[in-house]
Amino acid sequence: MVSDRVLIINGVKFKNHNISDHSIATRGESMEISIDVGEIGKFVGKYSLGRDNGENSLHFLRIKIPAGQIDSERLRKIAELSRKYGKGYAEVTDRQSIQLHWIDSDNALEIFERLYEIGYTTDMCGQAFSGACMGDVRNIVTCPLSGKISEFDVSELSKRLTEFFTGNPEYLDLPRKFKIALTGCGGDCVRLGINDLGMYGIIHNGERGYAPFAGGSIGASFPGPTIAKPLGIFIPESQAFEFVKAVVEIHRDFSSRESKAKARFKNLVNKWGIERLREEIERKTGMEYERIEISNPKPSDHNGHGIQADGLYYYTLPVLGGVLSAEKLDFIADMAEKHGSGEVRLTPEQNVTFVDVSDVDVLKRDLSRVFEIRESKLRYSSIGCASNFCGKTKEPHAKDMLQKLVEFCESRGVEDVSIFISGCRNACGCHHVGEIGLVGRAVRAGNGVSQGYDLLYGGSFTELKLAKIWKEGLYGDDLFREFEKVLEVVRNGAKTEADK
Amino acid sequence: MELKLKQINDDVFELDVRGNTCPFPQIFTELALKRIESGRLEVITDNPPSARDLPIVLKRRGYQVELEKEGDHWRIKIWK
Repeated sequence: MVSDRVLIINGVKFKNHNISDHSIATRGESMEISIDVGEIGKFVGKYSLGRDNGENSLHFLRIKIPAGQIDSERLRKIAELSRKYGKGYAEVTDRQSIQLHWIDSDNALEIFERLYEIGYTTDMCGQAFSGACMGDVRNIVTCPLSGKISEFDVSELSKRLTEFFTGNPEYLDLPRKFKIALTGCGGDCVRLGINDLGMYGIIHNGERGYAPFAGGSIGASFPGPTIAKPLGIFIPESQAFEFVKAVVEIHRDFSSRESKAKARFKNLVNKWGIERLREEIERKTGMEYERIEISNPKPSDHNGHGIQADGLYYYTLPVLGGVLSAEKLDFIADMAEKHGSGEVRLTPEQNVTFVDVSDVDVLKRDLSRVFEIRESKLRYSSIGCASNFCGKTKEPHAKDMLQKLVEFCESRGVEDVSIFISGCRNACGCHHVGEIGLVGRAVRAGNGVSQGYDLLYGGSFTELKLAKIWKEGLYGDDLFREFEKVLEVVRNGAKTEADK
Repeated sequence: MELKLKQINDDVFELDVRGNTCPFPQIFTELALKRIESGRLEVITDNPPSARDLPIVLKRRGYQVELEKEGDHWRIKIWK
C-alpha cells in the first residue's frame, strides 16, 4: 500500500499530491493494480520535455507563449526557471516560444507546477516517436503587433485556439504536429506559407476575416519542402475558430498514419488538391465560403519602431538567434514596466517587441546598457536554429555560423540581407525560404568528417518562393568564399528557377 | 488518471506507458516501483528519449536494469 499524501519523487516534494489506495482486480488469472496518479494528472497532455543531445543537455523545455504576448511578471518567472534549472540560458524560438535547456527530468514536476501556476504549458514534443502519432498543435504564430496598429486583433483568435487545443485529448494524437500562423496587420509577418495552415487577415467588402493558405511545411518529410497554397476562400472573423478546428480535425482524421515521413498535412493537401480540401472543410463546417481571388501577401515586419493606433509607440529589439539569458529576461521585464505597459511581444524572427512605449529614444538608451543595438535587416531578420542542443551539427553549429556570417557581412558593410540557417533537413531555421539559406550536412574532409553547409539563395516566405541551391557541402574558407559570391548575387537581385 | 499495473508472473509486474513523452514514463515508473516495493517491474515505452534516459536514472537509484527492443517499442526490466 502506498499511503503518501505528499508525493516525493526524486527528492522533490510534490504538494497536495493525492495517491489513492489501490484497487486490486482479478481478471482471469492475472491481477491488475490501479494507481491513481493524483494531481500529476493535470500535467499529462499539457507538459513535456523535448529531447536534447548536445552541449551536455538531455532535455529542453519549450514554453508556449500564447500569441507571443508576455507580461513582466511571467518574464521574471521564466527567468527564475532558467536560473534555477537551465544554467541561466534562454532562447526565443521562431514560433514565439521560450526554450530552456539542461533540464533535468528529476525537476520536471516542480517546473511544470510553476508553469501551471502562471498559466503556461509546453509543446508536447511527440516528434521522437517513430510512428505517425502523438502530434499536437504547436504554438500559434501570431502577428506581434496584434491589436496595436489596427483594430484587427488576431491574437484573440490565437489565444482562444491555444486554450481549446491545449491538453484537449481529441487533438493530442494527431498524425504529426500541426502549425498555424495568423496575421492581421495587412502583410505577412508570420511566414504564413510555411505553416500547415496560414490565416491571412484581410478586410473583404468591409468585413474582417481571413484568406487561408494550407499545406505548407519546409521540412524533409514527404513530399519535401512545400509552400502553402491559397484556398481561395474568405472566412469571416466570426467563423474562423470553427474553420481552423475543422482543418485540424481533417489532418487528424485523414492525414496518413502509414509512416511518420508521410504524416504531415502537406502530404494530404498535395494528394487531395485544394478543391477537395475545400469541399471537405465545407462538409465539416456546414458552411459555403465565398470564393475570392487572393494575391500573395505583402512582406511585412515590425522591426525598428512605429506608432500604434493609440498614439503610443512600439519598438523591436533585435536579438540575433533569439539568444537571451535569465538576466536579460529580467532586464527586459524591467524595461517593459519602466517604458511601457509591462508587456512585450516575442516575434517570429526571434526578437522582442516592446509595446505601449511613450518615448522610444529613452527606451533604446536604457536598453543599450545591456544590449548591443544594431538595427539592421541582417540582425533583425536572420534566424539560426538550436542545432548545438539537438546534436544535429558539430562545430560550427547553426547559431555560431549565423554569428560568424553576420559579422562577415558587417565587415563588408553589408546589412541589408537576411540569413536563415538550419542545422539539418528538418529545417527549423527555415533555410528553404531564406534570402540566403544554409543547411548543415556532414562532409568528408581529408581523412575525417567536417561540419559542412549547403548554401541556398533567393527564397522568400512572403513571395511563397523556395530558395535554390547555390553549392552543397561547403566548409571552412570555401564556405565564406562562396557565401561572398551569393551575397553579391542576392544584393543584385537574385533570380531563382521560380522567377523564370 | 490511473495507471494499470498488470501482474504477468509471480513477482513480475508490467506497466505500459506507450504514448507518453518525457518525463512521464520516468514519473510513472517511479510511482509503480513505489507500489510494488519488491519484485520486478517491466515497463513498456515507445518513446526513444525514455528508452535512453530510464536505464541511466534507475541505475543511479540502485536498480538493476535491462533494456530490450521489441518491434516498435522497448521493454525495460527493473529490479533491485
